[in-house]
Amino acid sequence: MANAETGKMAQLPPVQFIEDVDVYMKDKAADLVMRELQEKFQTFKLLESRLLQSRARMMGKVPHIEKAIEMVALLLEKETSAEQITVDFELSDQVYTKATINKGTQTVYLWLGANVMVEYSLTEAKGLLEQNRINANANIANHEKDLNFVRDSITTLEVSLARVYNWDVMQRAKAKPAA
Amino acid sequence: MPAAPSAGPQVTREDQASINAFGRLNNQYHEIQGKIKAKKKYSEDLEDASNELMLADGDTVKYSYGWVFVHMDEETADDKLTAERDEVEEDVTKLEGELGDVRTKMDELKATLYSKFGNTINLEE
Repeated sequence: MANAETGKMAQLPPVQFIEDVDVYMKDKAADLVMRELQEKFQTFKLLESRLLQSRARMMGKVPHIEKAIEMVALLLEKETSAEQITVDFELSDQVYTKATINKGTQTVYLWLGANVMVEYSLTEAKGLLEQNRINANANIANHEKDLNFVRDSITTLEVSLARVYNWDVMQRAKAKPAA
Repeated sequence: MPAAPSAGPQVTREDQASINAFGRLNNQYHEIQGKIKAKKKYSEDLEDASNELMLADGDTVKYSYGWVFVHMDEETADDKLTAERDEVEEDVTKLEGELGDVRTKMDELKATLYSKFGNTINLEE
């Protein structure tokens, strides 16, 4: 497996491809090898589901950022206009109230987390949010690389399992007429 | 080594790489399909909204924007809806192109792998 393709998964040993089952199985017991492969398979499966989960979490954040960008874009659009913006604003679940945004609003407050809000100029805010979106998407892309690596490992293990299993069946078939 | 009974063709490293590639593509295929479905749904929703607007009688429209509803006149709202829909349609076209590419690659790999392994391999989708 190409190392350049792996993100932070690089520390994980890539799954060995079995070149020749006969050579590989020499002096080995089939059931032990099968169990070993199974164990690896489970580990990678677990890893896959973890990666999928955290990717889903990150993907869930992107629409959030996009909503914020949308809003700032609207403010920017109206920055120089003479009209004020009237909105229905959600006070709490299912409760809306009317609010007006002063005309010529030039700053916006961004929630940075940890109970901190910072005032930004509209263009700055837009830049920051767009950077956030880029970072989030880059993160997702990284996860995808890791996922690809893990999935390749899983597929390789599946194929190995099948090959060792078939090898074992054939060994048994060969042993029978001799007995 | 003596040829074992019913020994299928040996899996080479190259075959393994093809199988892995197929697995990846298959995943991609389903993901793109999911995205297209979601986008199409969104596009339909936008169309519904446009139709509703036509029936409206010139009142202020409340347009969902981020977490709030912005009051705007019908015309602006309609323009926004159309722009949004054009964008979504464009995305769908792009995704469908990607889907086609993935499909072609999958079919190629399928043909190669099936011709070597016949019915001893099952490339499920």
